[in-house]
Amino acid sequence: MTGPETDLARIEAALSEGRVTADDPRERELQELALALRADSPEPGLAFASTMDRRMAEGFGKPRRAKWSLPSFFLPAVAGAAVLILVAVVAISSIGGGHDTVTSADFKDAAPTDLSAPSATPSGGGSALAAGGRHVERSVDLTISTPADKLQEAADGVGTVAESHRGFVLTSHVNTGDQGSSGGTFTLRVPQRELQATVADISELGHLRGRNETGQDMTAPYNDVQDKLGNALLERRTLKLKLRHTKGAKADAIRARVATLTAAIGSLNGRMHELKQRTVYSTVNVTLEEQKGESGGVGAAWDDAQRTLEGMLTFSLRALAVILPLALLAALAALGTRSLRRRRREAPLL
Amino acid sequence: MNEAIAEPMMRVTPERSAGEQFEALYQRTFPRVYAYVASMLRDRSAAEEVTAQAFERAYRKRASYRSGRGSPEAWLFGIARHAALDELRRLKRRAPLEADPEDLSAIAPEDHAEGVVRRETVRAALATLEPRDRDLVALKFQAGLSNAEIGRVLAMTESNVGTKLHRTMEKLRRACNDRA
Repeated sequence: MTGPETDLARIEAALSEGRVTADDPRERELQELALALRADSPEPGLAFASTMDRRMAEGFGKPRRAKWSLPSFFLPAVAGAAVLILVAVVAISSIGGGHDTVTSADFKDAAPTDLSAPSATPSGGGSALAAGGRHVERSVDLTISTPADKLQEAADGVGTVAESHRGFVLTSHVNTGDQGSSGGTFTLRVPQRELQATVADISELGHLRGRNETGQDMTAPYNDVQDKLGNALLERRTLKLKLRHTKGAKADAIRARVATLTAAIGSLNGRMHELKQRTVYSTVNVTLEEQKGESGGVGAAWDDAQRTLEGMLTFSLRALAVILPLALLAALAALGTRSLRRRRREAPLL
Repeated sequence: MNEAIAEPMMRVTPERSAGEQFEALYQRTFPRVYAYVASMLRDRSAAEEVTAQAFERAYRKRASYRSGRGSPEAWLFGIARHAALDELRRLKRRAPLEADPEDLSAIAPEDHAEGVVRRETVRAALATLEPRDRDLVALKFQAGLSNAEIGRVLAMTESNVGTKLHRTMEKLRRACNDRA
């Protein structure tokens, strides 16, 4: 029987017994070689051995060649701090928004958002024509809750607020009867430059429970209609001038073209008017709700719990979205560093 | 022969203090660590310096040893190997090991010539090996580690160590026969 396992077993046997034990000539050679290798081990000199014994007894004292190095916890601490900072940045940026739509479920103590803040929409201005000549259509949905006995007062207040900001109530529906739950819905149109103040005033009519703000940039269609209208008007004026000096069939053709242009101009004017209405005025949808008891109710507590859980889940997901790729990169970097360090260290053996 | 090799592996027991455990480890391994480092560096003074450095490092790091990651010997020889490699890289030394002065009186005249020839043949055969293979041989025969412990030191599996060791021993045997 022969093979690597047998050879290795013979070598181990020779090392443990300190002599050659195999009968096979090749195995004997391996055993002799193993014994010769061990016998040729360099041995420490007596002076060095006694020095080492003394140093061992003294606990080796302080290192002779002290090297400056960072504490072992330094790098993990720095990495952890970096991850925490990143998570905080992500959380803050996610709270800060940056989308066209801003939605809040509950604004118990929050002041109304500054709708002219530039982060909400590309234009971001409080007026229809904001900085950079952009035209933005804005709408805000507000949910206000009031005690049942204050509902009518709040409903009246909505109209008053709209009028005070040079707006008007487009539609309204109020139910303050005894049957079913009381409440109301309103659609207001207010000049866009008054939107912020309007929202602030309506929020004071009761308890602001929700707000949804949307903004849509209408600059492109606005400019398109404006250009088309300008061209049509210019062409019509040119044709009318030409018509003064033209007669016969040619004049009839020009008249036909002028008529077509007039119709188109009418249509474009209508479209322009609609776009102006949409961008100069903003829509505020107000929902009035009857306040269901105080915030200590089971339902309110359940709602709060759901919202808290949802918030935590959202935050965790966002944090994970940052941490996981970072952890993966860190693991790869650690593997690479380890491999590089080993390769570098073992360079003398290569 | 190095007597420490034949001693059974002492296990670290909780009732012994860390200092005592380390001293026991030192007593068991000091000659083997020196032999291994000297085989790597082939320079007596460098070997002494690196051996001392390895024990110092191990002593300072003794609290970081975890039994689940191998025997104390494997841990210590890992430190010694790193120290020796650092020294090799730093000095880029390849000088042959200064031979110990022969104690001629201890060797019978009839054995002397045969022993010297045998030793020189083995040393010459060793010199033909790749540095990595010489490292493996040193860990096996100078450090006296088991294949499992060598695996820990070199980050290899025990079976892989066995395979490499067998291949290296065969190379050495053939090289010795060629020179004989």
